[in-house]
Amino acid sequence: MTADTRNSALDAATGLPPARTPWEETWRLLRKNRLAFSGLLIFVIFFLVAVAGILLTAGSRPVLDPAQVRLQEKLLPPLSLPNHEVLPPEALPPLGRYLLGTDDLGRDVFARMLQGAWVSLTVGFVAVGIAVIIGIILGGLAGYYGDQELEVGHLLVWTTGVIAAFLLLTNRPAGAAAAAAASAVIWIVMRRERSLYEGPPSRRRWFTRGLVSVDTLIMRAVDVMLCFPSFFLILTVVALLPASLYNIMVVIGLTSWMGTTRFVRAEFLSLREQDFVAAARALGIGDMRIIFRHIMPNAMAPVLVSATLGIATAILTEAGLSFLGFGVPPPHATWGNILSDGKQFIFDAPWLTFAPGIVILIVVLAFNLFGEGLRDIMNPKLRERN
Amino acid sequence: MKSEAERTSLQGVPQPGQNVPILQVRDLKKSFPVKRGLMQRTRQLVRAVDGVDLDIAAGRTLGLVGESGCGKSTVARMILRLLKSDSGTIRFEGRVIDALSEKQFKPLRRSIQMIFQDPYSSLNPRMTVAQSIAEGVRIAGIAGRRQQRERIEELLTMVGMPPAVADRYPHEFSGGQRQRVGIARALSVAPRLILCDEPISALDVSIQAQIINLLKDLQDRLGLSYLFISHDLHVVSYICDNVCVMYRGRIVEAAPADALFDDPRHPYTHKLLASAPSLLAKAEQPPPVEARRDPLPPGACTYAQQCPEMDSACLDGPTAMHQVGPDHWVRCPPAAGKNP
Repeated sequence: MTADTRNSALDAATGLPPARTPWEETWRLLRKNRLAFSGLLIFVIFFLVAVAGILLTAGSRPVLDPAQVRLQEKLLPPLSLPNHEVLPPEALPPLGRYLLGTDDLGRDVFARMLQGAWVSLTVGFVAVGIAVIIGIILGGLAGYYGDQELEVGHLLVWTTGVIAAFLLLTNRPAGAAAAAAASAVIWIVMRRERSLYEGPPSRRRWFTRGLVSVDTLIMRAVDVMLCFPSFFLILTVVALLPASLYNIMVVIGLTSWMGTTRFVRAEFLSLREQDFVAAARALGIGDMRIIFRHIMPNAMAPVLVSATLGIATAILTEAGLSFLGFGVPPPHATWGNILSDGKQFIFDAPWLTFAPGIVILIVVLAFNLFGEGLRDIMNPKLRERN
Repeated sequence: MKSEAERTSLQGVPQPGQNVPILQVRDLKKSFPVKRGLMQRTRQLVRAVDGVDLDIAAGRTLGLVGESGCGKSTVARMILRLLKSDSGTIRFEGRVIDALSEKQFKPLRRSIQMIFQDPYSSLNPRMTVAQSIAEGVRIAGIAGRRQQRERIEELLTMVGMPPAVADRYPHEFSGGQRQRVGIARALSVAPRLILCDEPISALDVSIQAQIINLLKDLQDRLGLSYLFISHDLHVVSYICDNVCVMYRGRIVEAAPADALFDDPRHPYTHKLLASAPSLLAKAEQPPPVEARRDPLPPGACTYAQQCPEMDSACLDGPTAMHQVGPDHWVRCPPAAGKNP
């Protein structure tokens, strides 16, 4: 008897439809949603191309060299054949043709696009990864511990702690030790005070009096961050920092966590009041296990959706930065700087503009379609429409 | 079924030779602030629970009846420490539990469990039945994977579910089946007291009977005590040994179940009994009393505005419960005075 037939026999016995996990259900609905599924398909292809790109273009002797300059062969249209007479054999394109033509320095645009794909992929994923991690932590704090008041003493502990860290980083260990000690003393005094006196908040001593709730603090920080026109904030920061792929990923990540924070907070607020959380608490399960085992898996759906849409935005932001010359420094190719280089030759060599432009369009559109589809699938209220 | 002597000992002070009640609640209070306006100042306090006394004898069932919003669930949540009480004492097996710190209370947590009203929100949708129950089994100290699995299947059998459903998700079950899983989860830590917060009011009538019988059966087999919260008087009369009627945060009448149904004293209990749907007693419904809207002096009987038998004494306030029979107490001077 195979596992399958045993299962169906069991289903007949219990009178239940065949077992389906939530993930299987999502997958089934995803396949029914054609736009979202094609988005996912394009994403998978993009992922494979980017991985192939880094394998083919990296190293000291890459198969496809995006930095190979051939001044005799510049601005050739797509699919043109290389001139075997003028080129040394090591400069010939390994595919026999320039699939997407060459640029103003005679570099193979196809190789440069492949190299750029990896940049877009890593920027998209790492930046969104950073944003999602910050968003989950802050949103979870605001949602689960939001009622708790931040006290004057807490603020003093944190301020002295930050001063200690700052002094330590600027190599003044004596001052750092003093600040850390002050921080610890305030913390101990606060603990004692709280265990000694439990009364109405208004009658507490000044340093254990509530100042602002955790929720207010975090959500107002979100509001403040949303006030900045984020592209120009990124532009400013990138102008001050040395240009590198990692700086760009971190900066994009640090300026795009607000949406996730709001989603996670909203989910936590509603899930916290559910009976299954009360039941978990009644069983005596600890806070951390409740947060990560009981609430988090239920809060992941909107996070996943906003992350997918966020990847599209991050790719677009990186392309924009590169286009403006603030991105990854040349000679490394990114879709944005291929586009930027190509704009001077838009009438002589339109493929230099169209190749990265269309690819950015397709990838961003694929992520958006996939994200929107995922949102429809994971929201049971919207499910009925499809 | 139960002798009269047995029943009289259920309420009030424990008599010599009797066990300490498993749960004793005295003068429990909780009010919620109503915050309004820009500065979120507290404008008024809603007294959700206003001095509640309860006693549950070991192995018995106490019914807590009242309209929605009268504070029944708040009482249960305070006993479980899901909510912090404002004042009053809660004793579990003679030990005051509301003064304990969270750490000191943790070992006692396992002894008190809860069954929830809504079977749809009381199970984690992303966990299989086995995973949900395993959380409790783990807390109960069963470590090995195989032992945990055996215990889960034993618990499922105990609540009348085939053990094969263990790896299913809650959305694959009906309300009654989910409620059984919820009961299995509560039993997983081997509690001695279970708070049933309207466990059947979200279920079909035919399923209700099954769950009630399951609860009775489990009580006989495991010696559980129940606090049974409901607004359905028929169900309460069937399952409970004693009943407390609650109105606006106060117990207005407490009596053994038979006495309450045979000889209800408080006007609110009358109204509750009359409003229960019945095929036979349709004509006996009392005419509805128009609610008086004039403000009451502080301390007046909270029911005075709707009470058909209100007199001036009610405005002074029913401060105490009056005994009107063996273990039959009522918080209404006119009703108590009628038949001393």
